[in-house]
Amino acid sequence: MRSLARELRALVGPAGIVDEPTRLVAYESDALAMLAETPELVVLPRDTRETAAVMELLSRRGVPVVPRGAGTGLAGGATPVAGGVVLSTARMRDVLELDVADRFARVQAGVVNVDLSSLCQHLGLAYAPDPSSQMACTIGGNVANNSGGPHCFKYGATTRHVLGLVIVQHDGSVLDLAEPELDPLGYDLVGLFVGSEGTLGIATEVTVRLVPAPPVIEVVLVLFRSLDDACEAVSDVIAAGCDPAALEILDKLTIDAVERSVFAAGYPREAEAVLLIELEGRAEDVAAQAREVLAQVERRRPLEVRRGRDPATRKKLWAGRKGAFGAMGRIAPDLYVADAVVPRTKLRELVARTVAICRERGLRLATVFHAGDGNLHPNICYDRRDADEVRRVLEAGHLILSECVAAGGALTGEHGVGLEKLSAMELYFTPADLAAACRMREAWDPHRRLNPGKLIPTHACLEVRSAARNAEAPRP
Amino acid sequence: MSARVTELLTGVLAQERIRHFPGGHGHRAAPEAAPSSLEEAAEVLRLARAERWSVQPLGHGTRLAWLRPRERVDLVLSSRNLRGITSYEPADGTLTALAGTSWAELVAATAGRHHLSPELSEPDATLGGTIAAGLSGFDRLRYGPVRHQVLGLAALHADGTRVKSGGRVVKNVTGYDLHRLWCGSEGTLCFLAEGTLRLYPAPAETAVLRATVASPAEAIGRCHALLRAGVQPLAAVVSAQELAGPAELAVVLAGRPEAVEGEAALVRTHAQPSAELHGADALAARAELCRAGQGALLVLATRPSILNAALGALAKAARALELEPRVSLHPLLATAQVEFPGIQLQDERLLELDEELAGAGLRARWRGLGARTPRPRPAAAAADLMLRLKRSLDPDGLFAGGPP
Repeated sequence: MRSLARELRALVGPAGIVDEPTRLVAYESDALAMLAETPELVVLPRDTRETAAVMELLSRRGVPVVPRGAGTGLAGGATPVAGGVVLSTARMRDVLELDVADRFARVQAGVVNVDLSSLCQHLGLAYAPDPSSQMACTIGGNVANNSGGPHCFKYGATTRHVLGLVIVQHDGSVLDLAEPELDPLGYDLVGLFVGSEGTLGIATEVTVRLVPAPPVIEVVLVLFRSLDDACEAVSDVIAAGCDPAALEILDKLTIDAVERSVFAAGYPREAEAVLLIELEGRAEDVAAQAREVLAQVERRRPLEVRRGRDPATRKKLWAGRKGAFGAMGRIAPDLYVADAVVPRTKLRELVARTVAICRERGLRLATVFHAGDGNLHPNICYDRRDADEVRRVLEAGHLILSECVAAGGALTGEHGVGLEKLSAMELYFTPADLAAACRMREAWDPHRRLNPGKLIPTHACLEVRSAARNAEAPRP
Repeated sequence: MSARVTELLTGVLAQERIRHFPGGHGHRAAPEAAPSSLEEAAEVLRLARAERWSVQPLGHGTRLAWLRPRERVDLVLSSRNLRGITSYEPADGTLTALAGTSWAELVAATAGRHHLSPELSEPDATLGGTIAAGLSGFDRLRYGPVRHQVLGLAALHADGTRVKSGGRVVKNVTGYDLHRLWCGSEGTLCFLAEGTLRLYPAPAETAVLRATVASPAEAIGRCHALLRAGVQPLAAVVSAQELAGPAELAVVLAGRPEAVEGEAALVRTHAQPSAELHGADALAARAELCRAGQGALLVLATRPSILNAALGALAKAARALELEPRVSLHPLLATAQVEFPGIQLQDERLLELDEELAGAGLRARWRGLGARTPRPRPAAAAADLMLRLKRSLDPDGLFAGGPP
């Protein structure tokens, strides 16, 4: 590793290498702290050219590479691998192009999500994907995970907003797909790459679509006596054809945590659930939407409804949701943020099951979720020093995923598979599905050096290789 | 070969599932198998693989004229007997159907409650064919391309195994998005079996506002003025009989009555329409606009800010070749559907025009040119990767053709 570090330093300069043990600790995991592995080396190239040179060198040396954005991922996608190098995009922070007329931006992968949004704001434009970690997470990381966020309900996840990419491939060659084409020229390589969790290449530049900022935004906060009522209200709103920009729910334990924190939003004690609804559009349209939405939520006899259109009030109404994860630090030292999706008609049923699964295992559950998308985030409180509690948490997480898949849902709505959900992939996919995924992956990275061991169970890929060796030669 | 293919097919399919595909648009005639179940389709694929046939999947053939004919096709595998809606969950806003289900059936099933995107003018187009062709609709400005509507797909690979990607929920990042690769892959990687689409609330009201302006350039300018004023139309269409002549601008608004009325007021200010249609008249006009440009031989795509320049390049090249293009534009998407009234498909000037457009940096897709259809020109690294994907996912080259 020492000679490799020397060669890499020659490519990216001294500031582009981290090899001191005290600094390497910061890279030992992403936000899934329970899966940690201290890397031997971290390299931070500044642009596509340096990334290509780094990847070419690592390819020649046969060194595995773990790409990393801000490390805010929650599924262990950026957990280092033994004998590998972490490639961080943290020094790629330039906005390369901002085209107001054609409504797109081209940025380096390390640009922070919220920085892009802020930059667009005064132009009357917005970058729609807004993961909860948007203050820190990078656009490149969002591409890797196909990240969502509350406004994904209306605008869709990252994949709907990526128009182009520059990708450095496993051998250092550069795939320039940055031009924002209306339709792909040939196969949709960009669409395939988004959400590939760093296993197909390193995105160094991203061209994203910008959307017009809405002229009017109204936030409606509804307090319910039960979580069931809040879930039913969401189903009613969707079934009635209302079209809000966001639909978010917080449960009782989350409310309590928020109220005891600096994010206190003044929720009444008897509230068992909070439903946040954001409406946007022209003033008269927002007023009409509000009438429709309120007609639906009133059917569930809420405790209270609060509304606001001005930025200060909206910020206050969102404060509890935005601060929920921070506030949970008061409940337990560690938080296992699960991520599963269910059909929206089965929200109430599956939320009740997650509560029961955790209760049966003596675990405390705080639930915050993107209700409009059926994207559950059961947050299980634990202490990583308690081995038995960690075991129960993982067991509960796996059971929750099983139940969601059995109900017609999916393993992950926005966090990705990473290392965390590898063992659950076979709940969702057949061996044939996984084999196809492995074959596709090998077209990009034949030696599987890019983020090895993530996203697809390794044994599935080994089976594909074995089958390929035994297969007859392709016809000419 | 055809006789042998037909004979062997009778071993796995009932006679009525086998017929003759007559070809057309430069595509050769071939035996056609139309299995009635996915099991039968898998059997056909296994037979084809064993016999080393080259197979071309087919929906209703709606987009065949846009597809470059394959060099060799031994068997056409049709989805026309794989029809039916597997599930429609109105409260969930999702719909799953077999690949051969027609667009008209899907629209009928969801009518009144949901809007199904892409909005197509070909009711016979199939779900699988639409996805395989990457066919976007009239409503693209608001809802995006077809690849954004697909939540999940099931497909049959060359060895007959069923493979799925995505799912039936509106948000899902489980595994690779192979379904994004299959969208627009023109049947070169797999046989699409079933698809799930996301649905949108049906707009309560539609209005169409029309204006006659001096030129396409002026109409384009008015469209951009609307956008700057905050109007988000379902579509804005400009039609012109000649590039230097007068043009018709039609702005289609759809949504809640309050939203439509608010936007209509802005359109009145910024586009000075001479006519307004509401209710059934507006719906009829919307359907007619959706059909506009159906006779196009050429679709140009560029960026909105340079559409005028692109039309200038088209006009210059067409003038030099003594062609008289008629255009239907979506200025906010920056696409132009171009017709050449009276011009035969064999006319060499069309290929010369393509060269000129490529030289001006414009991207063109042609219809009806058969084997003369100009190939897209992706960068070398992208082309290499596409070939590797083809070889990885269809190692025997069973599905006819390579990357689009």
